[in-house]
Amino acid sequence: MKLVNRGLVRAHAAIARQTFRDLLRERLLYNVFFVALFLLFFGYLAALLVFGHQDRVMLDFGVMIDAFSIYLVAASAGARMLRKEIDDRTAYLPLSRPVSRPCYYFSKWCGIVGFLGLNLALLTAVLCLGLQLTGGHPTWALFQQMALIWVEAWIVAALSLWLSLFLRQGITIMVSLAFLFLSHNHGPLALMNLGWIKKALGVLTPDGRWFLLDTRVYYEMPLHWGGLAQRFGYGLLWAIFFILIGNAFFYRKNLQ
Amino acid sequence: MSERVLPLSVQDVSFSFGNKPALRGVSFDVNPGEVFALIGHNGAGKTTLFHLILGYKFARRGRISLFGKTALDASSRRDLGYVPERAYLPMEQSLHSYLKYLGDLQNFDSGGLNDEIERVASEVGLQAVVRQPMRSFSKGMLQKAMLAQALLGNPRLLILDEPMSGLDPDARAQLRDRIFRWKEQRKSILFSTHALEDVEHLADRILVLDQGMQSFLGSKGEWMETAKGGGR
Repeated sequence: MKLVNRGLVRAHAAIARQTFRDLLRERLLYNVFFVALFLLFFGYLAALLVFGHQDRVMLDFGVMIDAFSIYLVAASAGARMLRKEIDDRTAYLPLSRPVSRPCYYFSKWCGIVGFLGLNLALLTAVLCLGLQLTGGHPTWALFQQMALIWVEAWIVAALSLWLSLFLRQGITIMVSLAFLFLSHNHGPLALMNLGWIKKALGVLTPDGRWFLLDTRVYYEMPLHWGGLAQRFGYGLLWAIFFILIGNAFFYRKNLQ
Repeated sequence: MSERVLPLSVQDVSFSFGNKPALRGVSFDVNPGEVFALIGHNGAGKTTLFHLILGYKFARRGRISLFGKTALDASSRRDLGYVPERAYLPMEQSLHSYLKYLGDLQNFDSGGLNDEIERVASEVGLQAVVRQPMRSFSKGMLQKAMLAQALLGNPRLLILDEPMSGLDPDARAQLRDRIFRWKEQRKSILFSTHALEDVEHLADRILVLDQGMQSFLGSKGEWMETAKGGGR
C-alpha cells in the first residue's frame, strides 16, 4: 500500500498554487501591504525623533505593524478566496474534476498560508532594514516572533475561510478581527468579573499570549526549540480545528 | 472498464430550493456512446439536474451514479467533462495555465499534460492563442475554451449545458459535427437545449422536464411521434 497518494498531493499542490497566484493578483492585498510599508517608514521616522534606543522604537512599531497587516491580509484572503469562487462560479470547473471538497477546501487554506508567509517575509525584510538604519540588528528572537505571527495568521485565515461560507465578506473580516482581539485579551478578561462569558471566551478563542514574545524580542531572549514547537503546535491545532469545522460546512453545501 | 457499466444513472432524484421543489422523481440512464438530450423551458430544472450529477448540489432523495460509483464520490468524476452554460473561467489567466491547473487535478504527468493541452487546444482551434489571457477572448473563443477544458483527458462522458446558446450558425454547425465525432468515438453525451432542431439532429434519446417533473423519456422516434400528436 502506498503511504502517500501522489495524485492527491498533486491536486493539493495545484489548488494551493492556484490560490497563491490568485492572491498575488488581488489589488486589495497589495493595498494592505503598501499601507504596512508606509507605516513602517513612519515608524522609522518616529524612531529618529527618540533620543537613544531608536532601534527599540523601530522594533516595537515594526512588529505591531507587521502583525496587524498580516492579520488583516489573513482575514481578507480567507473571506474572499472561496466565497468569490462560489459566487462567480469559477469553483465549478475544478470541482467537476476528481477532487473532493475537503481536498479543495484544505488546499485553499494552504495557498493562503503560503501567501501570508511571502507577505510576512517581505515585511520582515523591510523591518530588518529599518532596524539596521536605526542602529539595531535583526535577532533570532525577532524571527521567532515573526514565525509566531505567521502561525496566528493561519488561525485567522482558517476562521475567516469558514465564516465566509455563510457571512458577507465585510462581516467575515470584522468577526475574524474581533475574534483576534478577544484572543489577545485573555489576560484582561481574566481580571474582569464576567462569570461564564469569561469561561466561554477562554474555551472558544486561542490564547493570543502564546504567539507574542513581548520583552523576549527586545532583550534577545529567544525561545528554546521545544517552546517554539509547542507554540507552533498550539497554533496548528487551532487552525486545524477551524478547518475541520469549515470543511463540515463546505462538504455538503449546495453551491448556487 | 466494461462497456456494460452505465456512464450515468439517475434514479428517482428529487431536489428542492427551500420549500420549492425543483426536481421530482427524475430517473434515466445514459448508455455508452449515446447522445442524450435534456429539454425543457427555463426553470424546468435542467441545470439543477446537472449540478446534482456533478456534486455541486445534493439530492434530497434518489441516487446518482457515474460509471457505477455514487456521484458523491469525487473519483466518479475521473472520466467526465463538463461545459457549463456560461464561461466560468478565470479571465486573467491564460488558457494554457488554466488547463495545466485542471490537468494537475486529473493527475496527468507533466510531459503528458503538455501534449494533452496541445491536443485539446488544437481540437477546438485555439492553439494560436493558448498562452494569451482569456480576457482577450471573444465569446466564441470562450465557448471553445470551455470545450477544451471539458475534453482534457479524453473523458467518456460529456455533460454540456446549453452548448449551442449564443453561437452563430457556423459555430453551431461545427459543434454539431464535433458531437457526431464524439459519438463515433463511443463517448456518451448528455446535453441540454432549447433548440428542437438540435435535438432532431443529434439526440438518440430525450428527456423532457416540465417544472421539475419528467414529462417524457424515450427515443427520438417516440418523441417525434408524440410531437406529431400534439404533445410537443
